[in-house]
Amino acid sequence: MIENHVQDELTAYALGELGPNEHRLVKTHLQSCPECRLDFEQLVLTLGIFAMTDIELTSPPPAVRQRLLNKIERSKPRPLRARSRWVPVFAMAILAIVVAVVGIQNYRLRQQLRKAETSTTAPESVADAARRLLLSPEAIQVVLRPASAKPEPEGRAIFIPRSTSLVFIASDLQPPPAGKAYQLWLLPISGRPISAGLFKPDTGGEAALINPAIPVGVNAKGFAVTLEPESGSAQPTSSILMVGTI
Amino acid sequence: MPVEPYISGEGEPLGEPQTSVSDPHLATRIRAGDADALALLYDRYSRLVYGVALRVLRNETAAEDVLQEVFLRLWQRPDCFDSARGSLAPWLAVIARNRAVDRVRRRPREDELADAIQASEVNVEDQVVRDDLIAKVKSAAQQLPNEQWTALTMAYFDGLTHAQVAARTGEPLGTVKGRIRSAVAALAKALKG
Repeated sequence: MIENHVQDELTAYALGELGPNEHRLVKTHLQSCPECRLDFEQLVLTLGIFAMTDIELTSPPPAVRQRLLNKIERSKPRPLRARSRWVPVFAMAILAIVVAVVGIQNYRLRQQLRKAETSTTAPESVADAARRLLLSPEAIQVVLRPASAKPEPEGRAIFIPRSTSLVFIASDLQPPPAGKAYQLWLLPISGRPISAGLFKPDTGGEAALINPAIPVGVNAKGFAVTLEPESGSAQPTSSILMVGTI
Repeated sequence: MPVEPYISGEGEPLGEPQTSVSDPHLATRIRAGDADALALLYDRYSRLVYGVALRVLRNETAAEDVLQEVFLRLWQRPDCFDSARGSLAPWLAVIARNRAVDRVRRRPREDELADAIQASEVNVEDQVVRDDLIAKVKSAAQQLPNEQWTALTMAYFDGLTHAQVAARTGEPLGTVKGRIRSAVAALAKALKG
């Protein structure tokens, strides 16, 4: 079944009729087969519209909305201030990342650091600024994980709130399609996403952005990565590939 | 409790006016932890989700539980959103149906389709488009052979397993599966046409 396609199983899958093993197999296949995925999307549309043909739109009691919002409120991400006491722990973790990533593995980051150190235009070298950020007790680290179910790519944004200090390191990235590049977005607490730079992974799937140009004083609540044209976009134009909130 | 027919002469809006924020934009905001965005999405689709759950469960308390579960899931798994796409209405209707059926069958929560929310590219938020799609599918459903229509509605709205449909209709399981698949294929074809 799975060696080929799963069209015959899609209806049963969408209706929750498959056993756990078959369900998992179809789900896995859908993740890698655009053809079956298109069929599945059409199927969900069909079944969703079919549901609408035989129901009455009924307003639920207002108390349900309130209960839902109360639950959501309790599960909201903790505010920035509440996280600050964890900063020393993060700083140790960040130091470990510096040793592990800069010292051993991340060729791309080393390259960029070397390149930055030779720069004569900045009053403080980018490498020094990055090092200062990474060792700062105020620095907060945000882990970005894939927006899809695929677990491979990972991004880490390390930054000091309301400053322009930001280092972003990503690993296990797929090469972007021709004419495309990844774009990092800073998600402010209010307002639209702000571009924090374009990047492409090296042959090892790794990439880094060190102190990209971002406005001063922006209060970030998270970061996201999308795939954009090589020249970059003013606002995200594709689905979010990775996202992380504070 | 106010009850409104889904298909009326004037066409009932799903929720907010057409000028409101799009589903993909709300999805992006939910990903960023914006509870107001989820509240907006709830206001837009709670009647649809509740209506589907009520249709399957015929019990208001149970339908309220399903309604809450569906939106709580959206909040807890915002990474499921394919936020570049269009309306979430069809997906929400299917998830509501599946959650309701889980309750009918008293089985644990399915590892359902939430791992890959497929927002439809078709703009179901648009009242005219939506009413057109509903009319097409409804017409196609009315033209289904009786045995296909019976098998499909028993499985879809009554929450019977394919085996239970087979037992009730006295038909072989394979026949029932084939009828349901053929019925859904016919509806999908009508939707494309």
